[in-house]
Amino acid sequence: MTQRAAIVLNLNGVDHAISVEPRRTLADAIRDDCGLTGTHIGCEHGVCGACTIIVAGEAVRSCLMFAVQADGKRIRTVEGLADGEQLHPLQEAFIAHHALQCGFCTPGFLMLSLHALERDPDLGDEELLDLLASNLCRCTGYQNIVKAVRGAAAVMRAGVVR
Amino acid sequence: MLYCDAYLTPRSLADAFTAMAEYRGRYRLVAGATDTLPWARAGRAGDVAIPALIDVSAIPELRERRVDATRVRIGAATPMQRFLDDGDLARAMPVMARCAVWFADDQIRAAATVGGNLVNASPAADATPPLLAHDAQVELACAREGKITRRRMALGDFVRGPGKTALEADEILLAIECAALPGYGAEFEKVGHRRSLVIATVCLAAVVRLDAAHAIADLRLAVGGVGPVPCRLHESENFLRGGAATLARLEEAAHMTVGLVQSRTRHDYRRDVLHGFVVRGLASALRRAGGASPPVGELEASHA
Repeated sequence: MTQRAAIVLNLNGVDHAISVEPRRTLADAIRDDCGLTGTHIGCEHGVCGACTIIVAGEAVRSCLMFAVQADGKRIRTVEGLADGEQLHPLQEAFIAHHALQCGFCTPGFLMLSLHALERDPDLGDEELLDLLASNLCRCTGYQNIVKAVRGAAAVMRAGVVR
Repeated sequence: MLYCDAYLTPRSLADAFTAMAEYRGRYRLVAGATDTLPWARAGRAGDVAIPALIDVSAIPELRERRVDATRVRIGAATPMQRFLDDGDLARAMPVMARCAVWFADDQIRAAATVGGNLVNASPAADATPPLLAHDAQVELACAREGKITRRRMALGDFVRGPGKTALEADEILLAIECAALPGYGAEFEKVGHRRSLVIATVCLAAVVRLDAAHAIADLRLAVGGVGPVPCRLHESENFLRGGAATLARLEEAAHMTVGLVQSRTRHDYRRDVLHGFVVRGLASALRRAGGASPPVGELEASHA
């Protein structure tokens, strides 16, 4: 008999008390149980990175993580990026550099880049390519994404980080 | 589809063994659990029913980290990212730091654990060749007749074949102990279809220490992906140890590996890659060890 677990997901500073089956992925719990649909689910087996979010300070693939593993942890999703109407430098840069077409992969790229740039805003070009190779984009290609993250890194280095 | 009744997170070894006894034969141990869903969804097993997932990542013994001048002890639930972030660990295990760069991708590395990589026993497991190069031993624990007992064995004896290890049904992989190799130069070579997230077609760990005259004082080479289990390249090691690090000698050492390729497919390709990896991996490791790197000629500068 499946034992549902009562857990609390702290999403962008807000606690969501939910009840989940052990097999429920964190991505499904965030989207369906907490109603935050900015985290996208692409491949559902850890290959594409569209579901990337930040859990307890680490970028993770939320389609590979069980919701119960994130119980009580601080979670950041794409919805927490902008401050009201004020977009984050990464979001501004993705627009400025046309770094998205269909936009499906964008939340994952944003959260992956956010985690890396917050850790090291001086990320070198080679390291940036290694990083962005973690995720897949099927329409725009990668050049504009690379340019956007470089652009955002420059803004974040200049101290315009909120 | 995965069916699962309970997800248990024991906080102590004793609690873990209690849970394992309660769900005997009906549980799966997980730590990062990053492989669980892809495995359950692969379809090869059809619907997968695991009555209990027992998450061992909160058990203190599996989170240990001890580093001194000669030995390293790390809990099996150490995430791969730790080998990059933890300066002491990266210095004591230089080849694990190189390996971690190529392990899965940034997001999975934060969750996936070194112990998980070992117990899955993939012939192409990334962490196994570096740990073989460190002469790693694994420590296993079980609870029998109410008493927790531990045993220890060489990693080379632990990994028995594709997906097979010496881990008994009632045992937990507790920790990995190995030689600290500070001052060694290291390289990890890996090739696959994509830069991130690939299962290596071939991977190689190389660590080298030079003496005052810049001859090779010690070296360890280990390879994965070319046979049922990763292994050390003892013949090449013995040939190079004590000698000068010239390109001709590296080439000769690399040539000794051709007979080792026992994979089911792509023999010629793997032979060529392994040969190139031995030469280029050693050249990089020698450079990091403070030596002059022999010119490696037309070998490609980047891979994967």
